[in-house]
Amino acid sequence: MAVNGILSNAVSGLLASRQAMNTVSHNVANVNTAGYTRQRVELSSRNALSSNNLSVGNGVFVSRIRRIYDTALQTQIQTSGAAQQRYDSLASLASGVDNLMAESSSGMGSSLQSFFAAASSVSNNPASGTDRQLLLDSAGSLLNRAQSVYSRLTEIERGTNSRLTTAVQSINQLASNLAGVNRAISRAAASVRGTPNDLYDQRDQLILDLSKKIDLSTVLHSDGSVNVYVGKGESLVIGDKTRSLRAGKDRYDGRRLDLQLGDGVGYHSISNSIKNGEVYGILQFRSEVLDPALNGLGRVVASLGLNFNAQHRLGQDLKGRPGGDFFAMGGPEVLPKNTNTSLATTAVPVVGYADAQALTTDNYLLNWQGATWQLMNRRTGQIVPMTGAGTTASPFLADGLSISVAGITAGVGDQYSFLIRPTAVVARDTRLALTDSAAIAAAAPLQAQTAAANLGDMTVGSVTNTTVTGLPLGSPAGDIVLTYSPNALGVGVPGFAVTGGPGGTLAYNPATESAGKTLTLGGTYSGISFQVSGIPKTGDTLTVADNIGGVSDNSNMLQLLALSGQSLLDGGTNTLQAAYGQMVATIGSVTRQANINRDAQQSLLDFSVQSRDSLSGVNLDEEAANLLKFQQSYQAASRVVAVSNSVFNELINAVGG
Amino acid sequence: MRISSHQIFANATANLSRIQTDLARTQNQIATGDRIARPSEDPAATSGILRLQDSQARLDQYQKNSDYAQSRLGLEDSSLNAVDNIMQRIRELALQADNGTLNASDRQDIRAEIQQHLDSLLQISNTQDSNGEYIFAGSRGHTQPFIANAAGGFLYNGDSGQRLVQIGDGRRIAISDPGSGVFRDIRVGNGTFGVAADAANTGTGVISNGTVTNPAAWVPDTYTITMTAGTSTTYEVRNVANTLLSSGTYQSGAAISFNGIVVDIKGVPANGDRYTIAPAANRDLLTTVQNLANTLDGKGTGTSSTAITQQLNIAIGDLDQSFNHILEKRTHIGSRLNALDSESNMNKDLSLQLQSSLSTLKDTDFAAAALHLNQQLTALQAAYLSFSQIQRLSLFNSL
Repeated sequence: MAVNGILSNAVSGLLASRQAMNTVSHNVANVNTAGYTRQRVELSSRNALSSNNLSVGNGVFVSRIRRIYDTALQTQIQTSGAAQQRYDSLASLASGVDNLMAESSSGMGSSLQSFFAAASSVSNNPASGTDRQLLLDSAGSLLNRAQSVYSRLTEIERGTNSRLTTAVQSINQLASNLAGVNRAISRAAASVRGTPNDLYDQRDQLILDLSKKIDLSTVLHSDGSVNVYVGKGESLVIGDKTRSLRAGKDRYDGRRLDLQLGDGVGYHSISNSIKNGEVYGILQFRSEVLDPALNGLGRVVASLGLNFNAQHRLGQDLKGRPGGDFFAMGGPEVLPKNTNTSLATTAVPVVGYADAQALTTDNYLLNWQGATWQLMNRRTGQIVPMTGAGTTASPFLADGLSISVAGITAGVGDQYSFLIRPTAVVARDTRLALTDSAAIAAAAPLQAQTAAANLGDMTVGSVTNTTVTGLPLGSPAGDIVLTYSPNALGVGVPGFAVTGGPGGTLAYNPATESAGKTLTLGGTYSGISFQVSGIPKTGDTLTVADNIGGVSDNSNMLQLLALSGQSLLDGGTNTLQAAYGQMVATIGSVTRQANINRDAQQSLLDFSVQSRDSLSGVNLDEEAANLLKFQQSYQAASRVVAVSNSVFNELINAVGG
Repeated sequence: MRISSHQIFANATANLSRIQTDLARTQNQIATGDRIARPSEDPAATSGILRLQDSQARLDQYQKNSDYAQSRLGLEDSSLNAVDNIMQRIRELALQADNGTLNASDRQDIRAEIQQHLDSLLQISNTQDSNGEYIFAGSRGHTQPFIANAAGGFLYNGDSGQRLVQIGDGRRIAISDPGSGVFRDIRVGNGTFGVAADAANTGTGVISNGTVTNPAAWVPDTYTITMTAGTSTTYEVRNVANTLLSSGTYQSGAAISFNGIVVDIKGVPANGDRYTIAPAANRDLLTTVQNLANTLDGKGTGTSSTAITQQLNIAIGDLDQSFNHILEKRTHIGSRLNALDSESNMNKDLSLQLQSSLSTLKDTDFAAAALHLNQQLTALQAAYLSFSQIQRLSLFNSL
């Protein structure tokens, strides 16, 4: 056996141990590197030499440096990481709105309460200028509150734009890094023997980071490079080529940025096909929290304003003038799609409110179908049936909206699509219409009184009117006088003969109805009613007249006050306060659900990361032990070199001696 | 299981951060006293809290309205109480004046005092509240309701508007009464009919104000009692259609009854003396008092002592009617005040219930929170301790 062989074996041992210690130090150095997979040196004995028909061992060599790695664990992390990021961005954006709704100072609830409390004071003291001014002030601060909630919501909306922009920037960065890694992997595959472990680690980490941002799928090639597809299978990274994403203006709403993918000729929106990752969380926040919050807030203002105005117009102010609008209302927002055939401002439908009770918190798309118009609920995707012809005289009616498309000449082949946000900007646009507190219409325009000479004990309550048609009556000439007679409607049928106004007769039977009967006038005056009670004597009269000098009358303010307890929303099932409370609760529960989902995905992610770390992570104690092990084998091999050296010297000395 | 070194640190920081988050939340609950810091922590309770707060605000408003109604009705009642006292004094003066021994100048003295009281009554009927609104003007709060007219009577310039306030869900109460109802539309006479002696009478017969014995038999009409004096004086009662309804021999103070009513005549009527009985009309209180003063001033119908006695008799009847009318109004106010009280008590009970429900939903359970805080503190300390022990361990230390 050759001395040579001893040396060669020892050197192979030295080299192998060195290589092993090198790998240990690589592991130790990367103990905190994200995505690093520990490596292990695999040693094999070299092929034996045959000598004298004996197979003689020939030392050791490093057969490969293995990544301790499990693809299934990596996929798990990718999945739960993407979902965790999705819910995390949803939850963190939603909690902004959640906090906004929580602050009692910024919430609308207390402002509504103060507004109606001020209206109560006016009702108690209708002639008091101070109380009237207070009502205007509290109406003003109600609107301010609504406007400030609106502007904070729009700040949050702008926040989604910048988040989207940042996310898109990092997606583009990650994609181009990945393309670079792909190139390096392909090159390494062609030139290096063995696997480029560290490049694989980088590749996996980049895919992991990308998947946190956006919904993606990957295809792995045999050389270790990977292709990445986003949304419905549109390529983002192919080998060392990437396509660029951008956060571009929404096709309808220029204030919102939309996720768009470059396709060589331009960019097209892929927002609808993204279903995971941070980007989806941002998009989901817009549709599930922001839009309902904006519309919900606006809907409370719209419903209050429309109902308050309608009743206010039926009243009469401190100076005896008919009531006007109390609030100058904002209206629905209509946004044309930027690909519409005509983008002229006249080619936009006129949208107004037809029925405040039927308003929803959803947004709608009004689409030209080539021959007909179609309204679609954007949240549910359902087609909403419309009645009417769409003309100014007979607008389309659907979900509380009236839509006139009279201004748009749409033909076959024309493209028209509009986004309708029913109440999204009402809180921004609504102002007080009144500046003079005397113009608050606390009184009713009509009053009724019994004659001084009446001998019975008939009494009459205040007069309510549901329209102002035929008003004022023009007292005293236009007064409507009711004269009681036991035979007014024929022998033995008691009631009133009506002089002036609609004329005719009104039935009233003191024997059975003396506890109170509401009489309603006929004809043009059919909106006018009042309650009569008691027992009149023949010839007793009551007079319905204009309310002249009725500064202390609070009849209309009582009707206005009653709005606070009336179910004005959701088809007559919710009061203003209840609808607002429901909106707060809905936002709260979306936020809560997002928090719960995020936490659930977080623990799944934690578990997967734990599993991967326990397989692939570096343990310093283990590396220390390995270091000792290879140090000892290195020392042993060195010793063998020394021994072979002394054997060689012995031989030389023997020969030379 | 194999543990990587990175895991040891990552786990420890994750656990510390989780415990600290919980701790911060518990601390916040204790510091603010609010169990829920934001709606997402308990959406169902949040919507409940908003609903209860709304109900609470509404109840508070009802309570405020009740207090306001109470003060308004109190003002009205004290005004009417003053009217009551003045009316009593006027009635005393009228009785005092109804005395044959008084001469014209004595009656002038009484008239002077009544005139004073009339001024007070006019002032009360034109009472203004702290905002300067006339409280008895109906809806025309800026119009003075009662003004003397040239004819010696009084005009009402208000209307019959009544102000209501909301004191409960679907419950409104009137906090004012128009002057027309309080002072103007008062049925005088005896409430059903009024009597009068003909101005041309020469005898000393004075007719009483009469009473209704059978309201069902009363037929509203103007009746005339005509006296025929001879050896014995007889009377006849005829209606407008000249139908004889009753007749008989006159006796001073004896009842003359027909159509469900009874009157009597005292004194010695002369031949042809006539008395009329007519359905009672409405007259305002001020004019009633003014009439009394006019009578004492000798401006009534006739200045003979019989005529004056007759007119004072009638005036006292009118005063009694007015007095009763005011009393009735005060009773109404009293019952409204009672209703206010019971509504207000109900509101207070309801408010207590709401408060306790609200507290259950909204307030921190301090005992439980303190317990949580302790547990979380212990956990945090344990986490610190174990981490500092474990992180020191490494085989490299021994190399």
